[in-house]
Amino acid sequence: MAGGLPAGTLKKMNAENKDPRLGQLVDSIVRLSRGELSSRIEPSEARDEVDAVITGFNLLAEELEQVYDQFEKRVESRTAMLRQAHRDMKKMAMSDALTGLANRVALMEALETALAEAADGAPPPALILLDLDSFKNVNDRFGHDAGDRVLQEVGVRLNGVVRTSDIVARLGGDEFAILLPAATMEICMRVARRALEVLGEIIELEDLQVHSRASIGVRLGDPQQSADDLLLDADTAMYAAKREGRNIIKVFEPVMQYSRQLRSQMAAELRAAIRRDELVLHFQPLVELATSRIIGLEVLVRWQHPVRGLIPPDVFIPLAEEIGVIHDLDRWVMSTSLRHLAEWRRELQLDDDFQLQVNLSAVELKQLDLVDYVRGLLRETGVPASCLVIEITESAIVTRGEVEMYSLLSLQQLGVGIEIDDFGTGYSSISYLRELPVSMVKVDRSLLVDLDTKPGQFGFVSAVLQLIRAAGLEAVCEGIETKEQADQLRAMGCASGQGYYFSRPLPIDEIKALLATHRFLSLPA
Amino acid sequence: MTDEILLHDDAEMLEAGAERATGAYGRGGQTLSRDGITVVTLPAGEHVSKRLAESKAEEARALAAGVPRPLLIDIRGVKSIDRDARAVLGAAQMSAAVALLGASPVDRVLGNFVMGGQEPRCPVAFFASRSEALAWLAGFLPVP
Repeated sequence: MAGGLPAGTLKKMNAENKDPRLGQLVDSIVRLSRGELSSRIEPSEARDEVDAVITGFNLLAEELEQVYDQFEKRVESRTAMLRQAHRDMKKMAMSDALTGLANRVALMEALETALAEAADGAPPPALILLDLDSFKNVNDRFGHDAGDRVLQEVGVRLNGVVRTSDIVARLGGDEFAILLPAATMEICMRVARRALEVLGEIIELEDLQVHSRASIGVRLGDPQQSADDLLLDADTAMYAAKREGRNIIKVFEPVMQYSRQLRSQMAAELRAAIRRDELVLHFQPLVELATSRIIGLEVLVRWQHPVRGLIPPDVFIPLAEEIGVIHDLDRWVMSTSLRHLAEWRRELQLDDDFQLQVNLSAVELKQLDLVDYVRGLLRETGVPASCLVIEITESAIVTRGEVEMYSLLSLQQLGVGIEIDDFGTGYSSISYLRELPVSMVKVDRSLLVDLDTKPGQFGFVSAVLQLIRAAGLEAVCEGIETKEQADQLRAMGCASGQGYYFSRPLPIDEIKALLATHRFLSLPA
Repeated sequence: MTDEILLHDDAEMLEAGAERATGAYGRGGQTLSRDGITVVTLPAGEHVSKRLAESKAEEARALAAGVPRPLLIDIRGVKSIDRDARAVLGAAQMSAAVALLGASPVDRVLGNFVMGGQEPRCPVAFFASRSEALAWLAGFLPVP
């Protein structure tokens, strides 16, 4: 800041026609132009026009400095806001919105870092994959809100069993992962066991209790592996755990990969098999116990594999459900069997009450167009609705979903019979079944196993049959293998049944021949 | 109102107010009330800080007792008025009218910076004559 000049100096300077203040002004303007915004000039005591210009200069410089400061501060605060927004967006992009855990992107990034460290000599990372068993039932039964709360609780529990260096992630749906950087198999198994333990404890959410058990796959990484391969291996181990009975831990072994490849090959073949009509139907006669009259057939599907031969349904039906082709399979069975029935009704002398029992999956019951499809098929084939019985398992209707109930009620109104399959193996009570549009109950074969030998079993089965009748339902027994069983069931008042004692399931030609020649079965004495 | 506060040239630039306590322009003048007009005097030869401006504004408010009155601000001879102080004095536009009294071209520049920058909310004028300023302000006194 230039000092003020005494009035005398000013007069002297003025006399030489060189006002020093003008020079000061020029210097200050130059300083200002260089960015020295604090540059000021002290006005003289003359307070004349030049001092007025100096004062104006000072005031304008002050304004400029102020505006510049404000501008700087604003830029600073906007930059901070931008940085924060960037951090928030990154966090959002790297975390799961529901649980706040890391997401798949964040997990893969951390996995790559851990693998790179392992390549530099650090211990390798381990990956634990967890898939909640039967989580879908929680959503179906209690709604998605309850499902979300279960997932959040699972996240909290998993965070409680890991080391601070570990990362818990949700990969989507009910699938979680734990990354353990620099791990050993011992550390990894300890964490996996603790995860299994905490997930085994009941989750209590206000008025509902949920068992959230998990199938766990473990893979200790190899520094040469890619993150994707490591994830795939852990996933393979997890699927092995799921197939082996759930609620267990499986450590990855190369053989699992082979089994998975085989399975995925089989999945592709199954898809093709449905298209190429490689599936075949077998039919097991349903018999009136009092007379041995053939009153109907249960339709059973087999897979005629070109290389592996005849594959039983318990091998490929779960696969069909898993890969999402059960819908196509169910419809193929329904349409093919009804066409056969129509043909036999034209060509053979079938009783008017002759029925075809067709199994339907839980997935199929959820299809909104199921009723239209069945109605259309019945119309097309000319088969009366009363000749068709749809068999469903207890588990398919235990959740009582709206679509399932709509399907059952509409089919019943159509005149189609509804039968609960495998009764006695699930958890339905008779009173529960009474509330459903069900007309028949098929008693599971396991109840007949000890009918002749186990004390009290006769009385027990008899009571079950009485209960079924008391509920206004018709009982059918399956798995009848001996004459004694047939006699006993008849004595208990059971009207009909099926089993090897009467006939094994027969391929199409044989069943047609049987129906053409026999209205009654001739049975061994 | 023009961009510049009206300047009323007056030969009596050196006229000192009766209220001036000391010096050519008076030093540290107090705030007074004269015939319904509030007269605020800023100390000549000094830098006017925010603190000083606030104390003057407080004195003026106390005198006005909540009623908008004509206001005379005597800035003759002040060395400078900093930015925050200007903001405080600018708020004096809540008065019925404001007359700024200056003597030199420096006062004129300062006065315009005090009231400039935004549209005045009450009539504002710069005077070089105290008597003219008071006469102009008298026109804004409430009719008895």
